[in-house]
Amino acid sequence: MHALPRLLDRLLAGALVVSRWAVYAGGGAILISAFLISFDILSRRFFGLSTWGADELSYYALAVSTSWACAYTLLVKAHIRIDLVTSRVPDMGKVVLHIIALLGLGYMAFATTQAMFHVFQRSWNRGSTSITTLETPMWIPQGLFVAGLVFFTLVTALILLRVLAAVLIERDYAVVNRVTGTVSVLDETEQAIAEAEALQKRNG
Amino acid sequence: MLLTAIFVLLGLLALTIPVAAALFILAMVLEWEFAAAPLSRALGHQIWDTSTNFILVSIPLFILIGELLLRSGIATKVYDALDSWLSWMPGGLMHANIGTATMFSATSGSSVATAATVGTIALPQAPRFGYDERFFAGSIAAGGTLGILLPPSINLIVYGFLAQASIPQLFMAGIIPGLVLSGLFMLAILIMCLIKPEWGGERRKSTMAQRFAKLVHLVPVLVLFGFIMGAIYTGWATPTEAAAIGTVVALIMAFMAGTLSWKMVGEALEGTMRTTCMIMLIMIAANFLNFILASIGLTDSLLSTIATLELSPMQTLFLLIGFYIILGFFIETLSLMIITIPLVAPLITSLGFDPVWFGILLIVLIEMALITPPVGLNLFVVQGVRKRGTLNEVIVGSIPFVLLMFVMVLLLIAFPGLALFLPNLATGG
Amino acid sequence: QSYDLNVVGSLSTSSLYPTYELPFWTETLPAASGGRINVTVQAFDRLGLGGAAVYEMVEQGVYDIGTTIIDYVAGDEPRVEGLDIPAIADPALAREISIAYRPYLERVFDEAFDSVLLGVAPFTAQVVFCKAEINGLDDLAGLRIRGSGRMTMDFIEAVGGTGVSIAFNEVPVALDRGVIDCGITGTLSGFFGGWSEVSTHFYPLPIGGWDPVGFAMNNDSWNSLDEETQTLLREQVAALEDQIWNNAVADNQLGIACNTGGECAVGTAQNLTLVEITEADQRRAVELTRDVVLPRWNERCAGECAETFAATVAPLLDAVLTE
Ligand code: NA
Ligand code: NA
Repeated sequence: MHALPRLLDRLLAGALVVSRWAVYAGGGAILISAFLISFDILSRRFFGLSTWGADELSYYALAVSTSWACAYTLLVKAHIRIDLVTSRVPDMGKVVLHIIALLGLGYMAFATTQAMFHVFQRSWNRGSTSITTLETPMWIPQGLFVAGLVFFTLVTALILLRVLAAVLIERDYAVVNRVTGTVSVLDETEQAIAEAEALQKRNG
Repeated sequence: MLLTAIFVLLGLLALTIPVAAALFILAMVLEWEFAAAPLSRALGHQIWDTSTNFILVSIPLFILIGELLLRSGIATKVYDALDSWLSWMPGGLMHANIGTATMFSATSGSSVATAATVGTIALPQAPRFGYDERFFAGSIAAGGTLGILLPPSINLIVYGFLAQASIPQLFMAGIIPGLVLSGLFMLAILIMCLIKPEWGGERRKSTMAQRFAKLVHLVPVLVLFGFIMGAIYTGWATPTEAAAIGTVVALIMAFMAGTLSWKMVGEALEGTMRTTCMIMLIMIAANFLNFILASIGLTDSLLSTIATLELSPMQTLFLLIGFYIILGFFIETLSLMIITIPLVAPLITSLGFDPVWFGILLIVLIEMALITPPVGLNLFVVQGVRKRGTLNEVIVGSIPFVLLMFVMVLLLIAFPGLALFLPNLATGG
Repeated sequence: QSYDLNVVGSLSTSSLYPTYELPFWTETLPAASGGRINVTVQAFDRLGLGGAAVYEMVEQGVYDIGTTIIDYVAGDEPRVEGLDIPAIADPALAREISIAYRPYLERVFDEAFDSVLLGVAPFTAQVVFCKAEINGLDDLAGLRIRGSGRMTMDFIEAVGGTGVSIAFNEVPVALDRGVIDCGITGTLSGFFGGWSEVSTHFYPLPIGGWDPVGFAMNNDSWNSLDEETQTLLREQVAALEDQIWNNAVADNQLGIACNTGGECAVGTAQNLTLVEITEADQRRAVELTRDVVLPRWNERCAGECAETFAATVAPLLDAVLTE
């Protein structure tokens, strides 16, 4: 019916796909780190080889995978919100609170992106390296990290737009609850439960 | 200054702004209001230093281990085995609930995951065998909290990171109190079901042959625990490295159980990254907030305010305990820890208490917060899995366990050795 | 005219900050200025700030003055590493090296961190604790040694050892269980950190260097001071520098005594075997530094940096070898 909400829905669906693949890539990097670290321990123990930087690679993996996972965490509503209030206010109030929550998260996303961009820019300009044997050019992990934060900021803005479109154009509060990017303590536990049940079913 | 900070924080949280963003905005407000220097220019470095910390790499790894074990069906078999060994006692399956929670805790770093896992397996049994549903549900909610006291534990890692206490020592220190608390739970179930037999359901007996046949189901969990703690105890590996080894071992076990697949690993990674990002964002915001608090002198003024009260160390300790119990009713536990530890840890050390010991004491208080209303994650989890009755029943069923946790706190104060014996043994030998 | 200075100091857990920096900023300097200079000071670790970020914060005007271990910024600025090179046992020579390189370093600080380098003082000599029998430098070959910093790791490799990076507080357990054979840290840090309780041998050759800290002041803050105050600040920091150097030597001797059964005023002495630094070993150490470690560093800072080093510090090393 309305072109804008439709477009935003499609963008959100796209963002979910991208963020899911980012999570697989980031999680995969963490998993590979586990193997590299284990290998490092064994080689140091049994072959007397030097530490060569598995630890360093693993904390870059942590940083980069975290920043790229934030959009996904937002899209599946897993950021912790304390809501003794929301359950007690009327629909309109809930919508307002959702928008405030998104604005708050969006501000943090934007400010951290901006601050990290300066760090990245400085490393790029100076050719900074890590003070380890790997001598990693810092702009590489920092650039990947910033890119994840940019994606996070964009997704936050996208969800905010979608919520505003639902309120102003469609006047449909149900949509707000479907897409809103933050979630309560209760919703988080629901997720844990749903997953545990699915497993129970599968494993008998 | 302190009042402004508290007022702003409560306001932000009341607006249901996500915890990470609330802490971040508070930091920005305080900087703008009270700081003489442009402190927020340090933000970029703060973010990068927090995000690239090798200690914190253990967080996704320990979450991943739990996810892999959960999805490989190993937990269900543990319950089955412990059922056959423990259910003959008065209280029946409730002992298996505690036992499974204890075993699963030894590989899981989170309490919510532990409660959800045990709850899904155990809760359908309560009506079938005629248990008091309240008490049965309470045993699962409380048993689940052991996940953060017995190592590995995400919360102990966070504590060690923020209080600059040794994480290997904290892990060692959690073992005996975890087992004692688990024992206290079982003892309480036993005594109460002797007094009120109608609370306990049908007791099932297995033959010794059946029992021994099922012991094999416990092997994977014990092996994994052995690898993780063994690597740390012998000094072969740091906690993060032990987590890496544990992850590899958990993958191998899932493979041997025949449940390893791309789909399963993918789901485990999704769950892992979701939780990791949530925790890391809070860590980043909290670290920046603490930088602002220290820079504008709020940390020092808070400590000197407490000093002017002229309380004895013990009085201060009990004041803190009361503080945590009250806050624990209302605030989500991980946020509670991250906000308070940077303020409380220096205070505790200055009073002459052992930071490792206090870490364990704090975790017991956090466990308590997990099962006290109105905000108690484990209560919600268990009620969610039950899908019948009301949350109030779970709350009532958890009360005896809350009291036992308080007893545990007193025991730790009376006998610090409960926590400190193993870490001292490890460093002394 | 009066001034308010916002200062970030080095590690609160070290002896440097509480013993020298804190009283200097809060008592000595205000008193010397007749109350015209007022200082707010905090240690960077108490602020949750990484040691590597200190000079950048000074550059950006978050603080007027900042102190940190200079090696922390080697990743941003490889040029700073020339100040402190491995295995110089004689404190007088170590100080000569730092003086010779100082003018160039001041220019580096001006360019890289937009700040005035007011002073340089040693943190503490970074020596070797072993749970393995060693009798000299050559015995380090084949051992697993915990170290940190590029030059230190390169030196370990040059003597044939294996460099391992482990966090400071994990070293005692790692030494005890044989995960590593040796570790490098300050003489007293190792004593207080429990390293000596699990070690058997103590080798006071500062393989990790003397770990200098630098006092840097933001250029704008510096220029806002009147000339009289600038002179006062320079003089005062120079006096502090002297005091810290003299004390580093005393601290080093105390550390050796405490670790090897001598007179220890700060605790109960440990009875580690003191491995003497022979003249031959000192020469060999300088040779390894000159022939293996420094060429690698020069690759990281080729051109003017390497040339300046060759003109200022290298002759001092050659003097040791031709003595
Ligand atoms: Na656990
Ligand atoms: Na609670």
